[in-house]
Amino acid sequence: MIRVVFMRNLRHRARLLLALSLGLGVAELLFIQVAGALESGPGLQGVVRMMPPAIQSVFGQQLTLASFGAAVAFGFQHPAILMAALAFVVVACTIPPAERETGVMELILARPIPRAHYLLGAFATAVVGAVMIPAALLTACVVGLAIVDAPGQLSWDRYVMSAVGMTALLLAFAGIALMLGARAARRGVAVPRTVGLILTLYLVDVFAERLAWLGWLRWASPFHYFRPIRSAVFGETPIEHLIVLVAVCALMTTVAFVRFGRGDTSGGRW
Amino acid sequence: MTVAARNPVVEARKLTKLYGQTVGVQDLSFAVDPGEVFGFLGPNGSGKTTTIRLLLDLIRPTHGEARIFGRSPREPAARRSVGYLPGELSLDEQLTGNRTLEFLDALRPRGVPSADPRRRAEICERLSLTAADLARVIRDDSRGTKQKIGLASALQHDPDLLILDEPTTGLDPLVREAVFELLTEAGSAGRTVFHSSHVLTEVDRTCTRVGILREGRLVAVERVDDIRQGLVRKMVVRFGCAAPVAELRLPGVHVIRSTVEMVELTVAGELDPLLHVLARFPVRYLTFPEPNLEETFVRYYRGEPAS
Repeated sequence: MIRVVFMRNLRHRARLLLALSLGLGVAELLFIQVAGALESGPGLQGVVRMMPPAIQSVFGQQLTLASFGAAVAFGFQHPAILMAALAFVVVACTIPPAERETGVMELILARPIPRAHYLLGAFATAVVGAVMIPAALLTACVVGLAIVDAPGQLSWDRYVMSAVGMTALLLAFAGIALMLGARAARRGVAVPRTVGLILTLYLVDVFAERLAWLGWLRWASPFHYFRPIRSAVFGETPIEHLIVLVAVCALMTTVAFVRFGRGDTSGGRW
Repeated sequence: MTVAARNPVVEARKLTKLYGQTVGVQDLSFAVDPGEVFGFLGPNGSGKTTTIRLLLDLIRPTHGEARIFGRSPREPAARRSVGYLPGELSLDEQLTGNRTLEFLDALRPRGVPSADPRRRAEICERLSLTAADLARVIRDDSRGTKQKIGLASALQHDPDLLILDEPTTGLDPLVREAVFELLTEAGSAGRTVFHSSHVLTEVDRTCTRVGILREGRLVAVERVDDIRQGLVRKMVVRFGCAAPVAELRLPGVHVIRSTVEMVELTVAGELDPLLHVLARFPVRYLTFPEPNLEETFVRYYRGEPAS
C-alpha cells in the first residue's frame, strides 16, 4: 500500500522535481563552462584581484577559495540552490495538506491503510527529491568536467561528498516540511510556515557567519552543516555535519508521524 | 470476512465529538447488526458526516468509542471490508475513471483479493457508467459521473459493510433507482449498509431501521415499520349507505368530518377494529394513502413528539 501511495505522490510531483533537477543541472554545466573559460584566461584569483576592495570586503574570506575547483562546487551553493531548496520544501510540505484540502486523503484513509503508511508514502516522495536534485548536480559535474579542459586533472569524484551533504540537507528540510505539513489543514497554511522557517534558517546562517556577536546562533541552522566548497576544495566533510542533518531529518519526521497519527485527518467539521 | 451473527457490525457507545465549544455529535449510542440496511437520517449539519468520519477513524472522538466489526476503527483491519462513499466526494482530477477504480482497489492489505473485474464492469454498467465515462479524466466529468465513479469504487469489492454518505447526490432518477436496487441487493446478500441521508424517501426505500439525528444527538432509533405503525393515518371512506359515524367512534379513530355518505377520519395504531366495522357496511370507495413519514421526521427534527 505504501508503494501505491508513493507512486501516486511521485506521479503528481515528478514534473516539478524533474524541472528542478534539470534546471540546476544545466546551471551547473554553465558554471563549469564559465569557470573553465575564466581559468584559461586570468584565472579566478586574477578576477578577484580585479575586483574593487569594497566588493572584496563584502565577500570576505570566501574569495580566498576562488579557484576552478571551488567554482564547480559553487554550483551546489549558489542562490538558485536556495530557491530550489524552497521549491523542494514546498513540494514536501504540501503533500498531506493538498490531499486533505481536496478530500482525497479521506478517501485513501478510509481504506485499510495505516496512517503511518500514508505518511511514509509522502516521506518517500520527498526522499526521491532529496536524492534526485544532488544527483543531477553531480551528473552535471561529471559531464561538465569531461567537456571542459579541467586544470590539474580535476576529477568529478571531489564533488561526491558535496552531493552527499546536499542530500543530507534536503533530507533535513524534508523532515521539517513534513512536520509542518502533517497537521496543516491547507496548503495556504503549510507553505508560508515552511518557507518562512527555511528562509529564517538561511538568514541565521548568513548573518551568524558575518556578525561575530551572532556567531553562537549558527549551530541552529541546517545550512551551517552544509559546506560544499570547503568539501570540494579541502576535502573537508565532517561526518558530524552529516549526522546532524540526518538526525534533524529523523527527529522532524518522527514528530510528523506522531502528529499525524494523533487527532483528526479529515478537513471540515461536519 | 465472516461476521458472527450476534456481533454488531457497527457500534457507537457514547460517541462524542466536540470542536471547542461546538458540538459535532454527542453521546451517540447505537448498533447496526449484520445484514441490516440502516438509515442515518438528519438535516444538514446534524452530525451525520461527523459520525461517519468517527466510524472510519478519519477524526477521533472526544469521548466514547466506535467499533467496526468489533474492532476499534484505529486498527486498519477494521476497515478491511468497508466500502465508503464520502458526502463531499473528491477524486484525483488527473486520473481517468478506470484508473481511479484501480487505484482505490489497490489500497488494500496483502491477502485481500482485488475487485473482480467482471463484478466491477457489472456495477459500472448498472450505474450507467459507459466505457467513455471511465476512459475520461475525472476533471472533465460531470458531478453525476464523479458520484457514480465514487459509488462504483465503494461497491466494486463487494464489501461486508457499506458506508454511504448521501449516495444519490447529483444522480438522475434512473441511476438513483439502480443505487436503491444495489443497496437492497447488498442487504439481501447479508451485507450491512449504513446509509446516511437527509432525504427521507431514500431511506424509506432501502432501510429496515433508522437512526434520527438532530443537532448532534440521536433522537430515535426505530424500525421503519414501527414508525409507520405508530403514525396517525388519514382515511376517506364513501359508503353505499348513510355514513355510520356513531359506529366509527372507536379508540384511536377520530372523525374529522362527515357528509351523508362520506367520512374523513384519522386512525392511529391497530387497524383491525376499524376494518371490522367497515366490513359491516357497503363501502363504495376508500382511500388510505401510504403513511407519510416525512411529517414524522420533520417533527423529530423539530424536537416534537412523533405523533
